[in-house]
Amino acid sequence: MKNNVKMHRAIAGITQQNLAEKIGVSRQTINAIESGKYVPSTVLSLKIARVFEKSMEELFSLEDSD
Amino acid sequence: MKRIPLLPHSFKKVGWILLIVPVLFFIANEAFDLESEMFTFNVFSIFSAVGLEEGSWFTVSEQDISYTLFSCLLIGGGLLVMFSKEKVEDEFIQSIRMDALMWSVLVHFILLMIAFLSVYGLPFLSVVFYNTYTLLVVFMLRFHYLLYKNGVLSNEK
Repeated sequence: MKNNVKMHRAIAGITQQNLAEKIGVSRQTINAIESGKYVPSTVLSLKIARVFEKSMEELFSLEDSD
Repeated sequence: MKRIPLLPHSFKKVGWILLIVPVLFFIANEAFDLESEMFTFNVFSIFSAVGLEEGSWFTVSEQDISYTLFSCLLIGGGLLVMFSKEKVEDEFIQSIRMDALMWSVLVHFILLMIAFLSVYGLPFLSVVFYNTYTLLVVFMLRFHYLLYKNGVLSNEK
């Protein structure tokens, strides 16, 4: 699964730490999500989407391998 | 969301401290061959036997309890480390936990199988003794390696 959390975070002008605190995870988790090492659960994805006031599809998309 | 029930983060330190004691004891025992009489007490046992005799149920007898202490501290400490929360216990940490658990079960049983295929007779007793701890040890190694790799331990990345 691809995501553009990093881009939307940059647009919103918040740090990994800010985002992590808003959704109750560690900064390393945000880092792992942004670098594609970890695919977040539906609950966590929805929380991220809510912070940026976007829909899930704007933030996350399937890859051919999925 | 469903979470694995875990102890508070502070229990992890207690676990590490409990682990240090038997490790030091083990090293001291190997290096100096300690007199184990200081660990000989009258203890209750559900089943015990001396040497090759038949064995008896529910007795109180004089026993060297150094390995009893050693094992209980090692297992108790290991379980506390394994079952304590990280500072921020989120789903990413839980996926690391799962990875480490799968690894440790796999390594534990592969080692046991290799031992079954290659060790026979009385020396197998020491295989049983050491193999008791491989699951805990491999879990701790793999879990902390993954935490370190993802910058959770050093608070980097």
